[in-house]
Amino acid sequence: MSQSVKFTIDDKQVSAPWGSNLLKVARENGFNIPSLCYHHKLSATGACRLCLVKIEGTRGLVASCTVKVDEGMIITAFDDELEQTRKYLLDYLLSEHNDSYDNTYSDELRDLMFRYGLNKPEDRFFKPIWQNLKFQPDKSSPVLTYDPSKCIKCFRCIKACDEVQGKNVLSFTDRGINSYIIAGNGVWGESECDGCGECIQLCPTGAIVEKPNREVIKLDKVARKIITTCPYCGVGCQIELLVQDGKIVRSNGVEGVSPNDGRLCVKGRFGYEFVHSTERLTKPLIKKNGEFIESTWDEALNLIASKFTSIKNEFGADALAGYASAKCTNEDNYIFQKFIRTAFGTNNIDYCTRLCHASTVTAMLKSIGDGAGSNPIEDFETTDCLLIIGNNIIDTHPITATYVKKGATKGQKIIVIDPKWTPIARYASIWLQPKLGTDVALLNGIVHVIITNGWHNINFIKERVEDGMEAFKVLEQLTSKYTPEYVEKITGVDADKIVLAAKLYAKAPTAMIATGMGMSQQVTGTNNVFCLLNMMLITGQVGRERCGIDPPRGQNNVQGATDVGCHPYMLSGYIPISDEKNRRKVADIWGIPFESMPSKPGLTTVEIVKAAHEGKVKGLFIMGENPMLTDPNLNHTEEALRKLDFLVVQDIFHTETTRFADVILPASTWAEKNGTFVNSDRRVLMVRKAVDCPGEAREDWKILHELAKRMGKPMPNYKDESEIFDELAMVTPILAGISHKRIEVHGIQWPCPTSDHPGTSTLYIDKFNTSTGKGKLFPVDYVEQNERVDSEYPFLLNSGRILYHYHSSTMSRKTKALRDFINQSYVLINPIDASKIKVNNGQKVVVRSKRGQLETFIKVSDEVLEGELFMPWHFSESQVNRLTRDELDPYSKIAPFKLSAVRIENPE
Amino acid sequence: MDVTTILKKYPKRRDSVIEILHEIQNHDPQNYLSEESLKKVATHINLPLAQIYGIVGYYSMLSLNPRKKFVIQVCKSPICGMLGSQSIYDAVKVKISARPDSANLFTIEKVECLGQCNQSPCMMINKEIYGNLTPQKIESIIEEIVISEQNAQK
Repeated sequence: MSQSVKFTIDDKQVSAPWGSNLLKVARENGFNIPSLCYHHKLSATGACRLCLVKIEGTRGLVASCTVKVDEGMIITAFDDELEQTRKYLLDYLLSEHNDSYDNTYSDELRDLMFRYGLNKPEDRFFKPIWQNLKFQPDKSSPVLTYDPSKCIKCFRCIKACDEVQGKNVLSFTDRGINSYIIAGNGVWGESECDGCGECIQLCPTGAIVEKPNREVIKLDKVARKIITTCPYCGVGCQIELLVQDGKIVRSNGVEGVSPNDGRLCVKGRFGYEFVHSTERLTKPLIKKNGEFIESTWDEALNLIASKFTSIKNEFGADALAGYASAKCTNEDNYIFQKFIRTAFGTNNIDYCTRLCHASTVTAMLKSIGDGAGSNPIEDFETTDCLLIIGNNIIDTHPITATYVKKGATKGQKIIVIDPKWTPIARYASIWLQPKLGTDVALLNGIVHVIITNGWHNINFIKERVEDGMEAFKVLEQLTSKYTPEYVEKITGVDADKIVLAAKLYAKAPTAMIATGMGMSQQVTGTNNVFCLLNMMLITGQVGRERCGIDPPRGQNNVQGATDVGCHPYMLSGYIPISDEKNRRKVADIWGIPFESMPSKPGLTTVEIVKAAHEGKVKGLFIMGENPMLTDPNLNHTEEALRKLDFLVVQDIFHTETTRFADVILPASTWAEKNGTFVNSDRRVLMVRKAVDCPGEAREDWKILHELAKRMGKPMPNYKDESEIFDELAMVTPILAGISHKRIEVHGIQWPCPTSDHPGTSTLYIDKFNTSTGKGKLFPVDYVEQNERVDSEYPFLLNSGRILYHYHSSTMSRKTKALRDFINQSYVLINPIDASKIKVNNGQKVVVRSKRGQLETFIKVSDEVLEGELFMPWHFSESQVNRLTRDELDPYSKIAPFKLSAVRIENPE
Repeated sequence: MDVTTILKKYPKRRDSVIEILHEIQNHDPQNYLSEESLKKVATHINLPLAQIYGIVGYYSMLSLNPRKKFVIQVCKSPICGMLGSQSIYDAVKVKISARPDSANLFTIEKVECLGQCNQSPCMMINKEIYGNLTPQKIESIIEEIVISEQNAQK
């Protein structure tokens, strides 16, 4: 913190840290100096000149937004001359501005116009000239319009795009009074603009406005503004929902609050439309003679209770299983796992985390004792070196990426390791492009280079690694054959690049790892992450601020659902089922006999499907998941679901999975309930109800609560969600100090053991969370993949996500703005391969593996290597998981979504 | 020389953008900067496409539209304006339309100050400055170019 300085504004004594922005400090102290071009997130522009002040000893009037405060400054913020000058300047600005206003956006210029009494043109000195300019509005973008006649060239939008989002799409062209803002090559819809809308949020005059709901929204009719957490990825952005006539009509970023400080991506800003979709489920449905018939809640719940009870009585509790949901709140998931463990009486509970980060979590738990990210999101900007591996961070975690991009502009070294080009490669110091499935070799190579050059940290190894130098020797021995030249042969990555990457990472003062699905969704997923952890531990790039490993979470509450016990081996707070003392404690708090707490570890998602296939699991309760799109080897999943005696799906829409259900229960979206999510940096964040559930749909936990009662295992009558959280906190030591009340404004990062604990921003500072408190090395050898190309299946298919859609796209494809960006499946193929097999851009083809086939469209691109393909898996009409395998990683049971041998057939 | 060859000559630094744009335009048979060229420049310098576009939009000597062999740039600065640049511009237009056989030779533009206020009104044809202009002078300047072009063709 800089030293504090004292100065006066209009005779008032003020103090602030040296070098603070004068305009910001003045406003914080109650001096409402006008300004249009200044925004706290942007560097000062000094374009609008409205924030002029007088500073004693400085000639003339000074734009306060460009001044840093200093000791003893004497500042005049308001006097007649300043106010007259401001009025004159504002008058001048208004002459270039089209005053028409339709009450659909907030307009700072208009507010000032009233404040200075310039609302009537006849009261102004300058005549309007904007009508004579040759401007044309740009309406080509799917999400916004730009009207140059309202633009005062404050450049907030350009700076928002550059400095806040790091996208650099905007600039201005022409000169003088004719200048205007442009995107890309002059047409917004054809530019690189990805629709995040940061420019809309920061535009002070309504020149850039949102397209969706423009015809509907009237700001004076907006009944409520609800601050809540975004329902898409695991960043946990804070959003403000505007509700008009019972519907969400806009979503703004909330300024000044972590993790996003007002920033949003295109999904967070525009992806709310699905809430009001006419396709929402609004009544319970029971399948009768192959058709879904609407029923009452009573009938549906009684049927479910009796069916599950009879399965349990006949085949035992372990013939039942449940899938929790990373989309639901902690409160929902806590009640769900309590329901499965008490009413079902089994630990067969899991959810989609098994499909994404299970391997990461498994490796991290074994090696360093916690499966969660070690750093706060802000560290992505401030660490000296960031290794981004198998992680398309710009598409999948756009707001985390804004921190990375800011870091890059300040000289942060970024190492990208990815077999496919991803946009973050543009910001990288170095990009390593290994062949699919060769990560273990590559990382062992990096470790080898680190050790042979003596870049490892012996003190750290001795003090914080279990068995110290002995364990290190084993790793050194194992990696000795992974010379850069040897690794180059396996991975295709230049030996020089391997050395450089090792050097950048190991020698950086601080370094972080951002690992993603590319590492975890492989047969060797756990081993991949072990290699990363080995590298991190021997270099000591952990245990300090801005150091560590962070797996950004895919879903809004994938962190929270595991935190609160939706796990087959662990109870809430990562306490193993085998811990008898904890089982006793939980049984006590739940008010059930200790003996009835299931003590046998349960099955994981893919194991549940296998058990269903074998007839061992007969009843399944799925809350808000869509395994018929997200599970590997879908043909097998489909057979398994068909074999179930009884399947209940609780969801907001019909999905690929609901077809197989016996009963479908209409549930609620995030906007229809209160509760909490936990984001990727372990921050517990509030979720608040904005609108009512449609029709007879109900909040998820209330459905489970009711069902538990009907199965004879009633839960306490919780008054509201905060009471559920209080119970949850009692059984979850890492969340023990948190309550809804404490996180009213700012989230808290766990572990937070007591109510006066501030939360923990960085993990592992003093010790690791393993039994010994030390980190463990797990040296692993590279093994060639079982799945290989051959003459029949000559390509390796990789799969992943894109910015505009979200997972099984149950939500995102119900939103027009997102569909307008992209709404069709495709397969990326290298130009050389494309000419070899004679396929063209846009051509319809069949992609086939040993497991299944799909139809999609060719997209020729050098983003992929020769011999490799890439497909986004969001599109249900081209189900990528018809092609993938369910051969599991032996440690974490994750499936290898990232690598399948396929061929391309031309249907014409 | 094609765009890629030109780009190879220049360091990947933003201060070389203007020079690069000039050279590409000078080597273009149609004397302008195409969208394709701008994209290549943006990638080479690692600047946003919009910024390159903005630079081209700002400077009147850079053009986003294809142009003819002779680019006539009439100065529209205040001094030239006061001394009759509009009548010069009109005279150029009249003269060119009077010689339909020369329509494929000329593109006319109004540009920012050419820095020749001591000989206002003025214009520039390709790299040559013509000062102290009158409508009569325009007649002979254009005529001369047309004739020399016709001779060169023979």
